[in-house]
This record gives sequence, structure tokens and C-alpha cells, in this order.
Amino acid sequence: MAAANKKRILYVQRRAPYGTLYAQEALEMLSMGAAFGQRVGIAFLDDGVFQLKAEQTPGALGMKNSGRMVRALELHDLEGIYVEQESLVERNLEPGQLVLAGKVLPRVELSQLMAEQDLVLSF
Amino acid sequence: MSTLHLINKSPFEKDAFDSCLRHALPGSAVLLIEDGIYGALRGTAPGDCLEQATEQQRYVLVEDLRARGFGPEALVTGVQLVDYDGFVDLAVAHEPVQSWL
Repeated sequence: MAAANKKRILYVQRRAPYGTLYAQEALEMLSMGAAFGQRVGIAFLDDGVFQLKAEQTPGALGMKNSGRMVRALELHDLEGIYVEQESLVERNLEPGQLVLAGKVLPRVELSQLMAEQDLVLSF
Repeated sequence: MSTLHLINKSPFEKDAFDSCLRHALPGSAVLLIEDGIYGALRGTAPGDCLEQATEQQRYVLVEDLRARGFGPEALVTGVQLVDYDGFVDLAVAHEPVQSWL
């Protein structure tokens, strides 16, 4: 498919992992959808940045490790993995504490990025 | 007996944490579980509020803390860690148990 025909799709991850299943379900959906030749990106903001925290050990909860699911995103040919700077600061998270090095963007730039998409899927 | 307050929602997403701290009486206990554990993180606005709530006993469920990638070093001072057995002990020692959903 020609690049011009590809839709720009952005997954917006706003929820913490484990308390609900939004995070895990969205990551699974992205993994399946990324294979269909669209221009897919993912952004982590608000409590969604907690999905990126290193050293998650949810074994006692019997749930999938969202940190590992996020790391698996690097296997896909994504447009970008974006992390909102203000969301990190509000939660006292440093980029070095995250499972991957996404592109850290200030809120104003992330707002612009979302506005440029053909489709925004928010979870 | 005094009340055990349970918070299981992120303070960054819902107002249950704020409302609980506004209503919890001196001598009561506040236990953060599930996404509620984010309310005890050092260097955050909710964490500062929890640290200042010195008239309440404050607890964090360690299993939920570890699951989310954090350890005791990430928490504000004055917070005690409990495991599932400790959760049961707290539930037995307090009445009523109020869940802030």
C-alpha cells in the first residue's frame, strides 16, 4: 500500500495497568492491528505512563505484565512511541525508570500530534 | 473501633483519594490497594497530601505496589507496608471498613 493511502492511527494510553484491563486490551489490539499496514503510533499520557514503569511483577495478581507487553511494541514497525513529559513529572517518574526509551514530548506537542491523526483510539 | 478506609483508584484519575483524606477521622486507618498505591509515591502532589495526614495510620498493600514496579523506597515517609495477611488483620481490627470506589 502506498504511504499516501495509509491512515495515521494513534493509540492513546491513559490508564494505569492492572486496576482495569484497558491497558492490556489496547496493547493486544495494537499488536494485531499493526500487522495491517497502517501508520500506527502509540502515546502514553496521564496514568498511562505507569504502564511503562520498569520492574513490574504482577505474578501475584495473575495478570499479564504490561511492561513486557510495551517492550514487545518495539518489535512492530511503529510510527513512534511517545511519552508525555508533564505526565512523567507529575508522577515523579524519570525516563530512566521506564522499560523503553520512547520519545518524550511536552503536552503542547503531543496535543498537536493527536490533532494530526486520521484516527485516535483512546484507552 | 475505628474505620478502615480502602482506596483502590489512582489519585491522578479519580477523586476518591482526595475525598477519603478529607473525611478520614483522626485515629482511623487508610489502606491503599490496587491502583490506589499510586497515592503514596514520593515527589507527587497526592504523596505530599498522604505524608501530611499524620493523624491517620497509613498503609500500602505491598503485592500491589510490587506488581506496578515500585518498592518501599518510592514511598513517602510515614507509610507502612502490609501484605495480604496484614490486610486481613487490619480488616479484623477495624469497623466499619469503608471502600472509596
